[in-house]
Amino acid sequence: MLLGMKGIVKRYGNTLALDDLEIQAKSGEILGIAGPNGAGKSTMIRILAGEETPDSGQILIDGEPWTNRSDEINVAVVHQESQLFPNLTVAENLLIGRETNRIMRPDIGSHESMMMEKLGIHGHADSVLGRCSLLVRQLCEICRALVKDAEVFLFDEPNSALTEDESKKLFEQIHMLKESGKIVILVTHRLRELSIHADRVTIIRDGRNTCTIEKEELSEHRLAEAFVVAEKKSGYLRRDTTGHTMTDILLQIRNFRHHAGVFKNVELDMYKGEVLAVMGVEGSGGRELLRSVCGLDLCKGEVTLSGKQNRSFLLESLHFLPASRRNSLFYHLSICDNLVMRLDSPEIAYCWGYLKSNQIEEISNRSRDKYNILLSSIGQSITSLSGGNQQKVAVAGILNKNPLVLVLEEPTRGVDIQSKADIYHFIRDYTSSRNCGAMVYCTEVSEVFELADRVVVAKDGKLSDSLNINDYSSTEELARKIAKLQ
Amino acid sequence: MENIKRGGLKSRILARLQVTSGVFIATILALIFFSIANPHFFTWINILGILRAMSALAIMALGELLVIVVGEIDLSVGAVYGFTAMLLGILWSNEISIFLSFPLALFSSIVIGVIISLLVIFVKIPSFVVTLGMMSLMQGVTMLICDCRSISPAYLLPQGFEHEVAFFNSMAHLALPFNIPAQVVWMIIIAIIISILYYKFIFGFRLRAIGGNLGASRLLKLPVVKYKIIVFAISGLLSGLAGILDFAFIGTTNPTSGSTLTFPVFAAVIIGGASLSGGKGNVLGTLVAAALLAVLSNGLSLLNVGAFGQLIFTGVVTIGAVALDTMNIGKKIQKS
Repeated sequence: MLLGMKGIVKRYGNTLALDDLEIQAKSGEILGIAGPNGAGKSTMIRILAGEETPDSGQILIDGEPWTNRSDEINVAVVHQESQLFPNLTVAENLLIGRETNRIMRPDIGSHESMMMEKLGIHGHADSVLGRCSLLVRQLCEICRALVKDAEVFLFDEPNSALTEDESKKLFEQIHMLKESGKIVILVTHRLRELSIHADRVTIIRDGRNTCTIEKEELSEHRLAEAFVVAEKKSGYLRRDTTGHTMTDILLQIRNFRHHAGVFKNVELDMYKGEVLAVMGVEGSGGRELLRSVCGLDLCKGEVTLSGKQNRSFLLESLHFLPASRRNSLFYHLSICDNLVMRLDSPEIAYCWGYLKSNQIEEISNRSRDKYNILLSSIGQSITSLSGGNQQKVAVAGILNKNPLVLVLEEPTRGVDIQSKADIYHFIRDYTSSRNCGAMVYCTEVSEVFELADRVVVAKDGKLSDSLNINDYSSTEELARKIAKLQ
Repeated sequence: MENIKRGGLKSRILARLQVTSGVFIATILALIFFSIANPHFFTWINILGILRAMSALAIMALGELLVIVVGEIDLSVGAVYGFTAMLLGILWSNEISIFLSFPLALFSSIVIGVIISLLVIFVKIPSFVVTLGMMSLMQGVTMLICDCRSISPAYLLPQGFEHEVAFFNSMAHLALPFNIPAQVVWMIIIAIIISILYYKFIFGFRLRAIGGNLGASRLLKLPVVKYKIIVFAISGLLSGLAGILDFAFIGTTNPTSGSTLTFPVFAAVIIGGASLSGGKGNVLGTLVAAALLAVLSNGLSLLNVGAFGQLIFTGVVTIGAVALDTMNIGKKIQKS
């Protein structure tokens, strides 16, 4: 069987999520899909799963347009986070929605129990799904798809939160599916998994496929290069910082340990005036490290900032910008309110709490000019801005607070190229002019290359030695090195 | 570079009025209707009566407003109202000076608010559950301390307490120019304080932020815990104060008083333009909504409709107001 997506276009408002996407998958092979954030991978998954209809384009099965999507061929999506019912047992999850008897609670049939045995989850049949391990939850999802006779299996970052052992077991099952003649599509950021398990990898960017790498030339290096080419570069040129001597230590992290064990014994130094990037796939502990440094996750260890370990000083001096704008902006408030939200007395209020409305206006107007935010009135709702301008407001909000250390999680997620370059400029300008530091979690090598002075790579809760960006002449070279460490 | 103004005071007040225009129109319509239906309705005496009758409701609603804006809920306001009044009655009739028992009773209402907030924040019980439990618990405690009897201190106190009784009565009764009872002045002063706190202080600014996006507020290190404690404490305090003022006006308090107030308080806040999901509320709208409920109650009783009419109308108005609100939101989403 041959599954094809041809000329798929999907628009959300003004943004073109998919633009003439073409994908070919054969039964009996694993097709890998990779691409930077916002490339359109999740839209593609939703369209294949039938959750969305494309604006134009066709999905073809063996060359025939696939119109009747209801029962003939089932597409099963195994998500990062399981989409099943956590309050039901594994067996009940297999049955729900497929009850043949309308009145009585159905019993598990021989077909289902055989499938469960095949996947090795029969021992969990009567345990509540929410209490099972993530692997069992994902296997349950596969099992549910198998009993429904699904032909196409989509895996969306399936092993990001699994341990090495668990991922091995999961991939064994994925290969079993492939051998039984199913179409398997694997969407992941993890280049190593793609190079090991996939038969072909299609890289998508800006909603279209840029290239497809065949089995013969599939390697981590080749993927890392193709991946970097697919990333949107902002074109922002860093000032050369070779003259900048990194000698004074600003932040020192010793023996740092996350309460849930996501990372252990992390040691990290950050110099004054530098932008330090942290990379790492999901589950590597990179994201958690940033949150923990800011005191948002429970942690043990020593964090020394400018020679001080005082906790309230740390909380005051380290400010965090989350990746999702839903967590950094207040959509029910105005632009002006969002710009000054982190401030306190004396900047926006007297010590007895009365707001200084003139100051608020002044700060907002200054931020608007300095950070190049396109707006008609600072009192207008934040939702009226474009994504790029919204993100600039979020960045301006944290810069207005003047923290000693900026801690930024994907500061340019989902913004246009111009805003990206602007944001890089604001961050670098801030750290170099004030001799402050910035710790940035990045998912794209081009962001690291354009923004950072040094990068550390997190893997399985440990940090690599830092790489100096100036030692690398091109993004591709850096990408190869980072791929090796990931 | 020219500065873009946020808009002057006048336009901001107009904007606030616009948000609650529905309540205003409803109130004006109700006023016109009852004025035509009954000649005794639109008289100064009756208007003062309405203002007096709405004052306890409005004071409690202002406290509840802050709780709802921060994204929580307080169902115990009516029980705290009854408890505080009863506690004052018991203390005072046991010959503890009003000047001591009054602050003590108010303090107890603050303590109840703080206990609620601590259970919500640290034990992580939803405020709906905590305050629902607290409502029943406080009603029980009220009955326990008074032995299920009404208390009329003026008849229980010995000689020598006359000036204290006079002082207590004057807290609600004292006639100011135009015969405005003191209780109405309490309401106005509290409304002014709350609206300044809500619109002009960093407290209100952050309160709206916390209620609208709790996750972001935590990540931005806004003082979420402190603010929630303060808000529940204010709600407790204002419920207690409302109870004491009504007690001073009527001169007697019974163990179940206040239990019928929980719903109207809630209704006033919601009709007044607050969003149950938090982050949004309107002080003026809440006051007008309290007035609307008082007008309905007064007007319907003048028309001899009976108690059922008032309950039916309050219910209809509450559901109708929220329905209008959600339909508006639906339109806004469609537009964007």
